[in-house]
Amino acid sequence: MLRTLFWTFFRIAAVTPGGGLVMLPILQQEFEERRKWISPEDMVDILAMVQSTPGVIAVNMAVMLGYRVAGIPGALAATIGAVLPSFLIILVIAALFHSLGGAELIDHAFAGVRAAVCALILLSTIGMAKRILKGWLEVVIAAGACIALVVFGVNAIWTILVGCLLGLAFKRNA
Amino acid sequence: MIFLTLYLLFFKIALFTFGGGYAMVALYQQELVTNHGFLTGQEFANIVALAQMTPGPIGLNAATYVGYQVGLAQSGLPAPWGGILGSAVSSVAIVSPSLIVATLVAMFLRHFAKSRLLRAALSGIRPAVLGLIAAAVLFFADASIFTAPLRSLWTGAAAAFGVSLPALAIFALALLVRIRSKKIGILWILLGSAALGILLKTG
Repeated sequence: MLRTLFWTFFRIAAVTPGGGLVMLPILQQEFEERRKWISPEDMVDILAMVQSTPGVIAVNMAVMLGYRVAGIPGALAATIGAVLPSFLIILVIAALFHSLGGAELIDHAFAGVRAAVCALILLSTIGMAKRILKGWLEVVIAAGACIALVVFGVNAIWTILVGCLLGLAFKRNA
Repeated sequence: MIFLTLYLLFFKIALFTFGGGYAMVALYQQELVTNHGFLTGQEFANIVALAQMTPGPIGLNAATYVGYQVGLAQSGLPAPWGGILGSAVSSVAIVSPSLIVATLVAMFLRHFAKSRLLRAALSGIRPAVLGLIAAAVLFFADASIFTAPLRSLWTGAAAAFGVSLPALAIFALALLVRIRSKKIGILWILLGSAALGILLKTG
C-alpha cells in the first residue's frame, strides 16, 4: 500500500504540468475507481480541506490522501513520491544545463497536455456533480461559489465558509 | 548558515500561502529577490519559467530550483553538492507545513467524522467545492483552450477571445477517449496529448 502511494504520486508528479487540481482525475482513477481505497465523498472532503490549508495544494492532497489510506506512513510515502520528481529533474537539468534547446518542444507538449487535462477535469467535475447536487440548496451553493469566483474574483476560502454556514443552517437535523 | 536560512524561509512562505502556486511565487519574489537578494530579478524570472515548464506543482518546483541556485552560490561547498543540499533543504522546508497542518486536519476529520454538526457543515462545503472546481475548469480553459481569458468577454476585450483549434481538437479527443473507454489509463492519455501537442504545434 505504501509503495502504491509512493509510486502513484511519483508518476503523477513526474508527468503532470501543474498543481493539485490537475492530479484530481488520476487520483480518482487510481484510488477511487481502481483500488477503492477511498470513497468519492472522501475525495471531495479532501478537496475542500486542501483549499483551506496553507502550502502547496498538491502536497496537501498527497498528505491528506496518504493519511486517509494509510495513516502517517501513508502521508509520508505519498508526499515523498510527489516531491521526488521535482528534485530529480533539477539535478538532471543542472547536469545538462546547456542543452535547453528543446524548450519549444516542451512548450508544445505541455500545451497539448493542458488541453487534455482540461477535458479530464471537466469529466471529473461532471461525475462529482451527479453525486453532490442532490437538492436545490446544493445547486445554489455550487452555482454561487462558481459565479463568485469567476465573475467577482472572491477568494475561495470565503465560498467554502459560506457553504459551511449554509450547511449548518439547513442540514443540521438531516 | 545558509541552509538553515533556506529552511526557515521556505517554511515560512509555505505556511502563509493560501490558494496555491502563483500566490506562492509572489511571496518568493518578495522574500528572495527583494528582501534577501539571493537572486536577481532576471534569475528569478528564469527559474519561474523553468518551474512552469517542468512537470509538478509550480510552487514546489520553484522552491527546489531556487534552493539549488542559492545553495550553489552561497554555501561554499564544492559544486554541485551545495546545490543538491540546497534543493533538498528547500524541498523539505516547503512541504513541512503541509505535513504538519494537513495531517492534523485529516486527523480531525477522521476523529469527528460522526459528528452531526460536522456532517451538516460538510454537506454545505461539498457543493461549494464543486462550484470552485467548476470555476477552476473555466480558469484552466483560459490557459489551455481559449485564446484570451473568459472574463475578457465582459471586461471589454471580447475581440481577443477565441479558441485555439489544435488545443480544442486535443480537448475533444481526450474527452471522447475517456468517455468511451475507462480502460485507457489517464497517463497514456496525457502522453498521447503531449505527442499530439508537439505534432500540431499547439501553444
